[in-house]
Amino acid sequence: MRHIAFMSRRQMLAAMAGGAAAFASFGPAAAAEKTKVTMFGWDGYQTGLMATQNLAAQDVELAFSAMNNNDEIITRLASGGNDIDLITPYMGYVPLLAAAGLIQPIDDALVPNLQKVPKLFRNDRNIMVDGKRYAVPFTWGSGAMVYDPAVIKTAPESWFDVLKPEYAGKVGMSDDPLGNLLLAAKLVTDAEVPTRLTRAQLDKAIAFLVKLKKEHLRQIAVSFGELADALARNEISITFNGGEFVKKYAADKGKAVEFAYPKEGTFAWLDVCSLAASSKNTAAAHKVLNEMIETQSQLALAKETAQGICNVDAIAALDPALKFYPYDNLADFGSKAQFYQMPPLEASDGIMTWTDWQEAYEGFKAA
Amino acid sequence: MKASRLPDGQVIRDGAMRIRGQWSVAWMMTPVAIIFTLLFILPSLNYFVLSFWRVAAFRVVPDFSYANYARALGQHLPVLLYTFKLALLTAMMTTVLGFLLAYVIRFRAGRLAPFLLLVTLLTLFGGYLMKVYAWKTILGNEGVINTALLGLGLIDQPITSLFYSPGAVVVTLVHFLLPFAVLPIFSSLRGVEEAEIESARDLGASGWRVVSDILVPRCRTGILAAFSLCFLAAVGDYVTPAIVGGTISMFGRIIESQFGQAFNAPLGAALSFVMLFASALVLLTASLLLRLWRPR
Repeated sequence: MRHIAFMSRRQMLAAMAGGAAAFASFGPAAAAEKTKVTMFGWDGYQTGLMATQNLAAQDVELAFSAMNNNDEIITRLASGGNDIDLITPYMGYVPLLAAAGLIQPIDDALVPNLQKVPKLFRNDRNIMVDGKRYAVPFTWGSGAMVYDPAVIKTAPESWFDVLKPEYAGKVGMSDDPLGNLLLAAKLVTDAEVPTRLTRAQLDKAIAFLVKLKKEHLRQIAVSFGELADALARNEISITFNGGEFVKKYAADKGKAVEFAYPKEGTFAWLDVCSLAASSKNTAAAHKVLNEMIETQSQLALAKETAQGICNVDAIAALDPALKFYPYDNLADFGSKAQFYQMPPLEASDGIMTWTDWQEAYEGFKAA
Repeated sequence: MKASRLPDGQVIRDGAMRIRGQWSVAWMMTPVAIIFTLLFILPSLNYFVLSFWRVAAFRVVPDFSYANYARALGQHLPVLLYTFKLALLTAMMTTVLGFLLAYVIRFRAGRLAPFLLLVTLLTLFGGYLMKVYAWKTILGNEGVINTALLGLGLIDQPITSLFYSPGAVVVTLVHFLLPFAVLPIFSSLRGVEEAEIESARDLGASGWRVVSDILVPRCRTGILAAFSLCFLAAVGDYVTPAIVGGTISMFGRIIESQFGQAFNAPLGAALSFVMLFASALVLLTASLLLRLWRPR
């Protein structure tokens, strides 16, 4: 205080100006240190990234906003979502997003952790478009059948078991147009690829779902959480289409359920991270992409979501309680559950489009 | 021209007063009108235009086609009719129950009336989803009702039709919407004096006659408001059927999916307008029926 009192007015102003300049120069420098990367994805997918300080150490700040469904990604990007850098779609959407110019290629050299991802996931044909990588896979699973072992003593072997009279009114399914129709097509049509259907094949698949709904289905769950809840409350005993992670969801509610891969096979899914075409922070976004499949990040993701992970080091270090995916024999898993492309967007050669599928599925829901 | 004298002795012509009054009303209505225009009229116009457009390769393309309306009134008509059936049932049940509760609070509860009214209001604070989930624990296979019936030995197996059924949707919605029915009807009943009812009773009117000749005609506005609120809330609801309806499909869910899962906002807009006009038609019919209600 005394020193200030003895300063002249000019000295005081000079000191204040100097201080202000120093403060001002410090501010932008501090702000410029971190690059903000915005991710739009399923809630929980940020958990791995938040579990370590790796992004902060690389001067990247992650902003995450949760989506409700895959199509919301398209809605946001197609309506000019310039604020989004990264998205986490289902792998089937990647070719469509690339064709629509909504995502841009990823530089493998900037994502070294890709080398820790098994080829089954890393080189899935959905995420490699015209030889270029459009997505980094980070979590996976399949449409496995889930059942209550207290009611069904031996694991069901066929999807057609859901039509057994003893399960009438005890079958549940999630409201998943692609998964349900794809599975039905796999079961009742002769389509070589169950996402490439003719009108007759699509109608046949719908007819099967309608029969299932009218005679056996008790619930079309709005989410897999609701499906697990119905299993936990003994409302249903078996599912048509489901997922390995339902076992964990049900266990959290105090219910022991099991899953099976019926002999007809099922579909596999891969959730991936893609770089939005409008992203201006591509360098920082690549750092986030690399961290998505970093070992500790993957372990945290597995713990949070109970979904399959892709990093082999993380798989080796995984808690045995979360190791219920067939990590030891991925080749065998590939034979039980395949990664399929989405139905086409444009009509050609009499193959039904994704819009046709959605219309048909609405017909099933209304039946 | 006529003139009026104000309390302070100032003389003002009636025409000038009327104009001043009209300006005053217009001035007070302006904020509401602006909000209504910005948040309802303009977005509605936007969606009305959108309803004639189409989607191609994940992009909304300007067009002028009735195809979305044709789909709404073709493929989706059965679901619309089913939704209206459930919503009408819900609205009628809620209005009748709301009327009974409002009547009890107004004329029968005595000193308990403020308490009952408070309880009715308090249920509004319970949260919508909490009520929906509460019914899970009541109606489910292991819910309160089935457990009690099994415990009493009245049934051998849980009654599965209690839950994941249209009935569960109606019960849940009635519970949620009841306060919205009670309040406008109670407000109308406050305008009915007890003496009027006692007079009718003294003249030999039955309970039903009192309701039909005195209470309903005097509470037309409240009843219509209650019915409208409940019907509109029920017809557009998509969360309740998704959680407690099991496999049933309601129109609101189809609209919701067009704006999300199906990425077809033009069709969603057309479905919304079809529902809007159909709902307006139902409410106009209800209003007409209430106007035609005449004491015997």
